[in-house]
Amino acid sequence: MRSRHIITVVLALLAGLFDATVASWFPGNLMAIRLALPLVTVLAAFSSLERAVPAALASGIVLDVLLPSSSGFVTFRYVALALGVAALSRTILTNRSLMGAYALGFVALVIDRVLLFAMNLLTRAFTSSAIPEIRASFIAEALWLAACITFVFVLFAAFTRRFLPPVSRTIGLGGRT
Amino acid sequence: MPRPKPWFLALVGIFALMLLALAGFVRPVREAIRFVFVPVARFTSTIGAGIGKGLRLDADAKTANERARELDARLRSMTVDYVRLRALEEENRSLRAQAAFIADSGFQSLGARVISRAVSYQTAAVTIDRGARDGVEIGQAAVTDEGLLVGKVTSLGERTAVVMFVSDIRSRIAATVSGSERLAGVIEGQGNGVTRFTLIPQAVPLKRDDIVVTAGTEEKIPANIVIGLVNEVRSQPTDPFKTASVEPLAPLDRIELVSLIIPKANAVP
Repeated sequence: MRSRHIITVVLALLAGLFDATVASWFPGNLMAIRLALPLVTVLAAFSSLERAVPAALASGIVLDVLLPSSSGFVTFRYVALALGVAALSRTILTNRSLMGAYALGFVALVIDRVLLFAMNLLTRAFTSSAIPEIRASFIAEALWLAACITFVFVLFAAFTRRFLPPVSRTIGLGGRT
Repeated sequence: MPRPKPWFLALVGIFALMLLALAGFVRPVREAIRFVFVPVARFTSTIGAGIGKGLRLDADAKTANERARELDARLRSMTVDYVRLRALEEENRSLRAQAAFIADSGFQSLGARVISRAVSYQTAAVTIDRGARDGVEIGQAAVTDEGLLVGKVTSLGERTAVVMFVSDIRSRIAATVSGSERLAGVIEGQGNGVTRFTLIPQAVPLKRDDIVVTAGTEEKIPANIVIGLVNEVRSQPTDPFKTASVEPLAPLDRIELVSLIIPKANAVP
């Protein structure tokens, strides 16, 4: 159990490092290809808070330390996002279908953007020369998140065989179900 | 009394951490994390820069063709125009001053690698892998290998610093026209890799292709560092000042290495 947590944190650190030092070089909307946000969203929606919050902390801290816009707010935003998505996935969007996962992803992105906007306002209140965090367009990020969710969902289905079509026991015996 | 929910405790904890960060209390922790991650970031940012360069290649080819045509027209114009010839002389003089300045002015350069970027239509800033422990200070100039101004340091850690490019909309740098001894105006970032030269008195002569350099009135930015070329001058006889659009000469969209101009006294061997 502990090793799973360690793996999650290491993956989150690498995701944060990728976002800060690799994805930030991508031109235009290709900047949407980031890993930390999908990782936190997927963990909060499909796994547990015990894994999502450390992942949010780890990736957020790396981004806060390396991004030019570092303010300490990315960590806060990702943890709040993990808590929000986990709460929604257990109360309102409880349907574990691909559509349900897309809906969770969309809500996660909206929460992230709202928090980003609020924190940019807050940072500007403290200092006029604050550098805002640069993001791709909402649509590009939504498409990328949907692609990540689809990938995870297909993997999940393949490993757990949860979504295989049910096979009737009466097939081949001339009976009907 | 009911126990508070774990998620509520986590949120309160992070909020408290955020306030501590704003007050500067978590700086040692951040520096410790930087100590671990900056060497890794140097490596990964090299990979990122390579991928980014590859992704930009197609768009660059189209832009380069348009740019080549425009430069061709300007070059033809320059060859027949005596005023353009004078501009070239000025450029030569300015570059000589630039080269001499590193050796004579009590400043020296410190190489730094870009490890993270924040570049959009309004914002242009990068994190570099040098910080206070290398002698970097807020306000110091960052230049390319050729000595063209990139921007200045706006925030500082022990091992990293943030350089805001001249094209960032928050950037302001005192500037003058090459060959002029006095302050002419201010270079303001306009976003999208463009700057504007403002607050230029009407009496200051300014024309297309003039070379704009730093004025040297800022404590940590020496004079005569080349910023860019004047593209278009806008002037109304009724206004006390005129403005000009200035095209920075440093390739701001693909900078991977910069040199910081630091006083010799600050330099860490």
